[in-house]
Amino acid sequence: MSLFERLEKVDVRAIYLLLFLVISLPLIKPIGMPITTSQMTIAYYDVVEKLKAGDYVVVSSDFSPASMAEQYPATKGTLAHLVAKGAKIVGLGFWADSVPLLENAMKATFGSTKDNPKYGTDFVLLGWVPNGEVGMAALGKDVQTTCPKDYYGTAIGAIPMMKDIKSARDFKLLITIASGTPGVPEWLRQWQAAYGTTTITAVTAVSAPATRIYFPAQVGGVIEGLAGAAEYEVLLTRYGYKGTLVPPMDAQSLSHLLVIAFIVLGNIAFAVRKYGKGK
Amino acid sequence: MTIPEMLGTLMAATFTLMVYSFFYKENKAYRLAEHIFIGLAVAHGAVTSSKYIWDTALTPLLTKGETYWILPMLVGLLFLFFFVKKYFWIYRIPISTVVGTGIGLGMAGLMRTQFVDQIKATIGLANPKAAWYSADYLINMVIVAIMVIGTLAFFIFTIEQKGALKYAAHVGRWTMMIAFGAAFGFTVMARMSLLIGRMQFLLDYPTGVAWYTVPIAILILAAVVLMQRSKGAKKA
Repeated sequence: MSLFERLEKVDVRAIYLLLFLVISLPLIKPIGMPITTSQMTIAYYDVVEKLKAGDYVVVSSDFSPASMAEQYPATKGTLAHLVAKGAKIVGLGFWADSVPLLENAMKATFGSTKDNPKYGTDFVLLGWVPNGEVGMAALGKDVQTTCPKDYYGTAIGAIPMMKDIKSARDFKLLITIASGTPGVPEWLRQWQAAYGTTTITAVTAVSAPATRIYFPAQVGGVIEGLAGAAEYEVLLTRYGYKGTLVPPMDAQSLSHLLVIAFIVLGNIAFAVRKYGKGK
Repeated sequence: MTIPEMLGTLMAATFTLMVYSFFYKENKAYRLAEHIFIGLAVAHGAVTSSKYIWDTALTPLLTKGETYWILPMLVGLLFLFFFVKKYFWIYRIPISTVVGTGIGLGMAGLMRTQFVDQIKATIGLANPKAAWYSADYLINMVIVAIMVIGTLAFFIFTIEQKGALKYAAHVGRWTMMIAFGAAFGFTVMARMSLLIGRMQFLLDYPTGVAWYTVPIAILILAAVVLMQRSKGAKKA
């Protein structure tokens, strides 16, 4: 059996093991490969930069724990940036299991949530809003009726920063941390198109190609997956933000090189088998 | 680190390793983790949904006397007829309400965001910060124009694809191939990110839980493999 024939019949578990090693080693001992920022991440950053103190921003957590690796760093970075700009943050989620993750990100940013003195004046967590796109339409039309209580059971009327918030028109910016449906297209249909709300998004890498088509006309900025979140962390360093994504980006780059190597080797082996026989 | 945090971390690490044991082969530990995950997700969904109904509809009905909430709740209860064969048709009433409302709301915005605005954006695309006379602006505009027209040509089925239309459709096919390739690349990136996220959790958070859970997992895996081999040897 030739080398190429062996390559074609290699045990898939050997590839898994190599992948685990290639990913683990940079996490244990980071290389510090450079991270360059894309136009879409810069645009995302710029939109938040333009906010003035006291502007209301919706941060919608629309992802599942499965995509936490990509979306959680983007959520934390976004919250830190909004705090630095003095924006009033209204957190909610259209994916039921994403709200605890948003709460965790708020805890990481503010130190605590409902017991924090700033809770209710600078930030609030409204919790899960059901029914996807219909829920988004309802929220845009009437925030108070759609979310009668916050995540902790406090009546929305008793929350100081929410007293004058009636509809989507009261928000300066909508940020959706999205990984599927409901996500970016639904928000665009019910908020951006209906009320002209400026919209930016952090999406998983899988959703990125489908989201790019909205940039820059309909979505003002896009963070694409883990790489986008790492780029955003680099931009946030000017606010003293300490990111965690340099080692993961090393791992990401090396794992891609490994995949490329496998694809090239696999194709060479295939070509040798196919065209070598004719000789 | 408190004891509940430690237990939570260990549990998360154990479940991660149980799921990743699938990389070796299908096994009971993986199945158990999968079933527990599904059960937890369903339970979480049920509890959050019930809480929302309680906060939004039941509380105003009971405390403020807002009787108009009775109607949507009754329509919602009709979903339960899904489980009654004889009256299954009643289940179609809430389903049609949900589908009708969803499609109606979606269609209204869809024509604008995914049709009119997309056409407008395509016509005026490329780098928004670049001057109209700059090279990248012109190159991007030409590429976008050729590829969009080519892809649209690919989907013209009412005329036989020959002559100019055939070549335009070829351009469309290549455009889509490039798009699929890019989408595949993004998918690989996403999948790697998920693995990296878990590996980072195991190695970094909060005290490198992997350093003692992974060796234990390897020992368990080795024990299972040895047991299976000895069973196989006995049968033989």
